Amino acid sequence: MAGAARPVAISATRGPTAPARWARVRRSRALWAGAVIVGAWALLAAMGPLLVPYSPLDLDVMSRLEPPSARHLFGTDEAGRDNFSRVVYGARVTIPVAFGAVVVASTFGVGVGAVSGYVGGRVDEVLMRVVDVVLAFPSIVLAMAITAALGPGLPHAMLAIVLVGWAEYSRLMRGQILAAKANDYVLAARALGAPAWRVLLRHVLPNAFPPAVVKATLDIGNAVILIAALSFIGLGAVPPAPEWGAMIAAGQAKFEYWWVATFPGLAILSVVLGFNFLGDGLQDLLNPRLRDD
Amino acid sequence: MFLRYLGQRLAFAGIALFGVILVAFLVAHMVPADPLAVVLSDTATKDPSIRAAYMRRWGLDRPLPEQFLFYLANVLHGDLGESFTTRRPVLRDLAQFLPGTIELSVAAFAVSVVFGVPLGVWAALRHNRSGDHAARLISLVGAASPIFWTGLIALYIFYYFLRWAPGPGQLDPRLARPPVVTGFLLVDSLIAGRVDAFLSALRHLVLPALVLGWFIMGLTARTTRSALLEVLGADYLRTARAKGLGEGRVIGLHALRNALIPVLTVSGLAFASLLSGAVLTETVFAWPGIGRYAVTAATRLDYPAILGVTLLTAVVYLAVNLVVDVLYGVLDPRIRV
Repeated sequence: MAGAARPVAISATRGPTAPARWARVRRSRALWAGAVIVGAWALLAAMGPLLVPYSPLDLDVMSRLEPPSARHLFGTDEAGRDNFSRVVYGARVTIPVAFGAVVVASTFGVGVGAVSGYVGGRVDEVLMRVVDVVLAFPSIVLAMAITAALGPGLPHAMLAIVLVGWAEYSRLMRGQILAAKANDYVLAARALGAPAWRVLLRHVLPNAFPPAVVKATLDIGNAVILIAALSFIGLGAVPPAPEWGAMIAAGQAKFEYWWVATFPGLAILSVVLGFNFLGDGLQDLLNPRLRDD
Repeated sequence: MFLRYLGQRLAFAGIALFGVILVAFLVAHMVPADPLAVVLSDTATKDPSIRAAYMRRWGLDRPLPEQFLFYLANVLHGDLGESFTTRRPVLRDLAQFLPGTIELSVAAFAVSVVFGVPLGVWAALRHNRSGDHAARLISLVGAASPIFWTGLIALYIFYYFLRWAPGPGQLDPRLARPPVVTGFLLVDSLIAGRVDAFLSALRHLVLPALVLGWFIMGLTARTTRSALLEVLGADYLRTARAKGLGEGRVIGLHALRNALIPVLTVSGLAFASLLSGAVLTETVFAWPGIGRYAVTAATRLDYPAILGVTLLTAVVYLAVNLVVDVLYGVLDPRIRV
């Protein structure tokens, strides 16, 4: 699984030897559980159209709200659409948007935090006050305000998640940079006359980076929940798009048709758990000192 | 020394408040639609003289920075505009719905402590064994489930199938609401001497509080676990055991007491997730709080209302953090420098 192997390559140049690190990878149950779940969902998303028995948008009014059966594994919704096909297609909608939002938010946030921590002084002061302001808003509330202002739709939901999410990376990265800056090897590099950008890119960033990777992994799960929440409210994906949150909204208040909302929710739960396990596993792998046991 | 620390914290909070209002203003200006089209009728929107009058009334004819000062002055005077849907001042709406949110949040917080602390203790005492992993999984599932879905499932099971819990809402619809004194339904029904309303309100509170409490319980349990693990090896515990105290008293009286300090601080920080969670919990449980008010406002593009909630939650968050910072300063003199 690429997601699990990549950070190993990043950090193989320092710390424990490669074999020792590999031994730790093999032992980490969280890492494997996460990699398997996330990998399975990635595969489902990629192969979705080949796997599902029906189109996620096909209406079949004759078989509305049918309970789960051999014909419709997860039952059908109020328009007779096949719930299983919609849950599988939901992965193609939500996971790429969540992934994209986290990549953009973390890149921007890490950039701001790196500049803030490395330059220091006035720049740091101003940037951190901006970060404080963004962090003062509960993410769902600010995201709701932004999507309400821009209008519903997944692109706007994605933009809202970026605008809400970058600030935590800045704060995290700034702290990491400050800690890394205090190291002797950074002092040595500066004493040798290396230019600031080179010190930052070659010496400070690589050592400050792993926590941001861990956070980004965990955040993909959070972004999935946020997208689903916005769609649930009616500000994210526009019906009849097979988005998990919107599907749960469709099953709301239909207590006798429990399958409509239950399966998309289980999909969200498993994806989020997968990214959580993956993030925890990466944490153990990249910062063994931070393990709480 | 302490006064200087306090002054610095207050100044930071003031700057952040200014920034928060600026962000709300900017979000309001991201609205691509014609703001007058929402409040005026079709014919009035096309009449230039009416347009000009409304533009002047809201300062919309001024340059953007001046508009911001206009907005800032209004907000600082408590004028958050008028909700398009309820046609009432937003501040009055917020005052009406905030108590419901506070009741739910306090109950959920209590749930997270009542279940989270024992779970954390249990996990710490079974460090790295299966009990520890099970405890971690319980809190992880709570935090990893979308709360609007957990709420629905809880309603399916406990309301629809088992009929143990009442349905959505804050009060049995057959009961009359007691007269509003404090705005808190539980308190108001006691003041009015309405035991039936009090019991009904309490029953309606249980399920949403459990759902929201489970959502934030992970943080409490995890912090309790690691704080307890840290003190478990301490000398004073060995002393307590050497004195012949039973294991229950050693853990309960000596270890837990010291471990609870970080738990309380982290719980204060969990406040932001509590607010976020409350928004969606209220929606699922038809709970009359500011979260449901915000969601209704957002879906009807009622900008003054949604910006009002956005501002309020940010201000509450800033205030809570200010209090936490100041308490830190009181408790730990080292932080003041």
